[in-house]
Amino acid sequence: MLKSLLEHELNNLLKSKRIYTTVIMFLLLFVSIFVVRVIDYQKQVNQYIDDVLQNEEGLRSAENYSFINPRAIQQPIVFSIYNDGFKIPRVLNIQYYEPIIYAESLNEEDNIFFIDNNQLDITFLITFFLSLFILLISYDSVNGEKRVGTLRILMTYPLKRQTFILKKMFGVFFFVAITFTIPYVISFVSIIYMFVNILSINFLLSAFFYWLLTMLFILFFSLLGIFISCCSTNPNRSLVYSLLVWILFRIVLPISWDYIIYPRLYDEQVLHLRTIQGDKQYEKTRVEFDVNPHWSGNFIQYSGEGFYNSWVFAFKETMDGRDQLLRYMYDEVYPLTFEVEQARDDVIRYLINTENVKNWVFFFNPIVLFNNLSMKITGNSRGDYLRFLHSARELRNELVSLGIEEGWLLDYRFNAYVPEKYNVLDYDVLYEQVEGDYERMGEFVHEFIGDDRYEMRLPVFRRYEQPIYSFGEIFERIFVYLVLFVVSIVVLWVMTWRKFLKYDVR
Amino acid sequence: MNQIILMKDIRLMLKDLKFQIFFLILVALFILSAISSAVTYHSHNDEYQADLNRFNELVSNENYTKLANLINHRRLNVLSQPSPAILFSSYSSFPDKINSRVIFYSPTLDKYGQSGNGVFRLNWFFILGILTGFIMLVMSFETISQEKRSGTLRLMSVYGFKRQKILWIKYISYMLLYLIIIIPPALASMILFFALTGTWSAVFMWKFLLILLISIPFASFFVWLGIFISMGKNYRNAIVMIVFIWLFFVIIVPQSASIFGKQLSPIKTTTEYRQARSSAFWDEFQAWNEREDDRAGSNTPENLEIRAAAYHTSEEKRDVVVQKEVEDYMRQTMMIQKIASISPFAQFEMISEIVFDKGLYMLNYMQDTTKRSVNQITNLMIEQDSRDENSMHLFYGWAEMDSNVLSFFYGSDKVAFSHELFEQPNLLFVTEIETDDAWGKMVKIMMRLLPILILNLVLMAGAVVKFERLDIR
Repeated sequence: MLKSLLEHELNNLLKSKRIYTTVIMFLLLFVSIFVVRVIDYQKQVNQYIDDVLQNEEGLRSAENYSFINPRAIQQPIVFSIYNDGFKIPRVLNIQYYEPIIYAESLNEEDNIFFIDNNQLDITFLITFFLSLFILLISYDSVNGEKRVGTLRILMTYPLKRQTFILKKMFGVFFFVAITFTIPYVISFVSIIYMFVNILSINFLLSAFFYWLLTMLFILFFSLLGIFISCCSTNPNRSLVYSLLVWILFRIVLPISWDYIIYPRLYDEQVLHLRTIQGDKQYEKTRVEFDVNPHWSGNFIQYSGEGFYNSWVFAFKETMDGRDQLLRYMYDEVYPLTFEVEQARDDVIRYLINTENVKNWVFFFNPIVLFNNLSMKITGNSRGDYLRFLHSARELRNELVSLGIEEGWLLDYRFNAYVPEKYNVLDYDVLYEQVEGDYERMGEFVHEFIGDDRYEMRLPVFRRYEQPIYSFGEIFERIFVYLVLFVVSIVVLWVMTWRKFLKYDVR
Repeated sequence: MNQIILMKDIRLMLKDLKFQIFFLILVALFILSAISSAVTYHSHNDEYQADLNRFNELVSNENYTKLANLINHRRLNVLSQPSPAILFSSYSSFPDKINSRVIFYSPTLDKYGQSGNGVFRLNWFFILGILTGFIMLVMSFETISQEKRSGTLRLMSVYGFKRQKILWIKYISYMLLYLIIIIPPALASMILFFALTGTWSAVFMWKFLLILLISIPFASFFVWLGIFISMGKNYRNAIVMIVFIWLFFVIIVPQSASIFGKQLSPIKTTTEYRQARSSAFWDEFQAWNEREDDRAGSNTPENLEIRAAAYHTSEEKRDVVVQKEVEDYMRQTMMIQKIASISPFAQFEMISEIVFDKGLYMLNYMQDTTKRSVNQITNLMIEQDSRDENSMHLFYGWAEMDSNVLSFFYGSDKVAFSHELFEQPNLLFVTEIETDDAWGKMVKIMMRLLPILILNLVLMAGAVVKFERLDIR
């Protein structure tokens, strides 16, 4: 009986002009957004390749150890085509004693006159359009049947009300699920075809969990539409209710949180944590510049447009000063780097906590849950950003340890500009050799160095690798909220069922 | 008789559950928008005050406003101050602070608060521009069909009412309804915002009233659209289509504008611009060195003039690249705006930018002000330096560094560029930005309103023609 009713329901849906229009619109939007996102992703991949090449070139052309500036570069996530997530630049600069706290962009286009708030991705399509589509399909599913009289006829058959409402739910659910799954699978296959070389297990896992989450989302809104339909006998009225509920879920509740509740609850603490971070940064800068002025000021500087070279010929005192400076940086400045990073992590962790609180507060709102969970699934949440920072810091720490182990981090080789083999002369010797004539000294040095550039051997250190998530890991990240999602669906189901039990079918 | 029908229509609409629910929602949203905007205003204002304090601290430090230092390191700030305009929109796509080198216009931009990622923000633009259109659509989509179903349309026809008159009465009653649901909560919201922020200003009150007035053609567009579809055979199917049209203009067009704009008007990458700037400078400097036997590289007293000329010319070369870069950014931004302006909602926000001196409209004037300030400060610095007898009057970025070398190695009292303090440090922090006068603004507003007025006329004509031919039986 259920099967025949289900078939009947699906047939009815397929014949409706309203639903036909809705599906066409949805598919058009899906295809347009997908194409735009794929083009954007391809661009990101090209930029990523440029970033990697630039990084390798930088390492190859490093003239001394202080020039080694490996970068942790995050490969664009394929699944970002579906879910853009928490957007950050993809490069983390790894410099010996600089805190790794913000990502930067290398080969990305950054229009400083326009702050791009674009959020057009498949997640947006689902949370914005699909939710509305489902409500527009299901708002008259019960009262519409009552209006044409079929509900009364059906109830004269030996058919349980529970079975009827189940049929309605599955009818709408299967219809929307198929409408979503077909383009989703086609898009998925096209991505595999287009980007086969850069696909990873993460993509497949994300695709599966994302689909699962979407199914739950569809189920919730199907039930919600039916529930609204049971709340009124007039389809026009339930249409208005549906639109109101949609505005409430999609727009009013999230923005009330973001712009009223959140600032009142958390802004002060966020500001406090950011101030601590600022203080730590200031403290580090203070200690960094609080060096003995007799130590060399000729330390490597990064101007933002390139490194300024420094060279090893110097008075003996200067050379000693440099050694002391390097030791000072390692002993005094390096520990402060960790403190700055810790303070930055505290800010990010706090922001992650507030996002989780939002999930709990809006446990009844699948749009909020979907937005947050899809980021956790895709691997582009704020938590993943923190993990990215930690990976880069691990690499930095390994490089520093390597420098200590091999000795170059704390001796003249760190800033050496000329070949190490020539670095036997100190400035005093040179000064005597040219009898204090600066012009001759310049010529001498130039001739001495010739065209032979620095022969530094690039130390062997580990490069950044994109994390790979296992099934269990992703499941663990979303499990609690998934349960919350399922519970809210069950509650809604019970409410709908009980409402329909009391529904006047006459 | 017309008045009676109008009153009947309005009374019926006021009793309608849809109206009552929407009215309550609008009241709640207007009040919430006042509270949320007040919170944002306070945080932006704190940030502005912090900027101001930081600036005062800097200028009280003698080292900061030393002319020789101003040439190379110092920057000037041009800020669009936080204002009650935030109640209307946060204009989240455009920066409101320009920070540039004191000589040569080389901007970095910033915005108060966090830009955030939300598509919607709780403010008047969201309510008047986005939500009200939807509400007017939902309220009017069964205007004619309902009258037809209940038989009143036929009755009125029997009484000899002209169809056009019926249509106009319907339209007027919806527009009156719009004013009823908008004006009282909007006024309450405005008063609440002024009270919470203490920013009462008659000018802004008039600006808010003007924006309410300007919102009428936008609401009217959706009323005509609703009336138009209510004459369709299957009006409930039509509502689906109309919701899509609404979504298309509210979401798809503004959201995809940046994607298409960036494709149609690409800019170079951060690294490319950085390299171009650097090469422009160093290529020119190298050329000078080659021409002048490496004298540009030397900071001995006899070479300083050559060095200053080389450095400054190289800076000019870099400036050409920076200006090209700025042009690229603006070209792309304008392209994005052009695409977005297909949507009446985006047009509405652009009109509000003119009314409140915000957004891209303001950014253009901020740029002009910054460029003017750069020229003014440069001229004043040169003029002040010319009065200093110790100065060699060499206007170039390394002047301070080379002066140190001069005094260290040669014990000279002479400095490359004056060490006196800049006489007008207030020019380094600009908040007064001149925009169009009232007439100029009015013309610009009218130009932007014209398309929506034409759309109204087209829809109205379509609705009248369709209603004349409608089978009312």
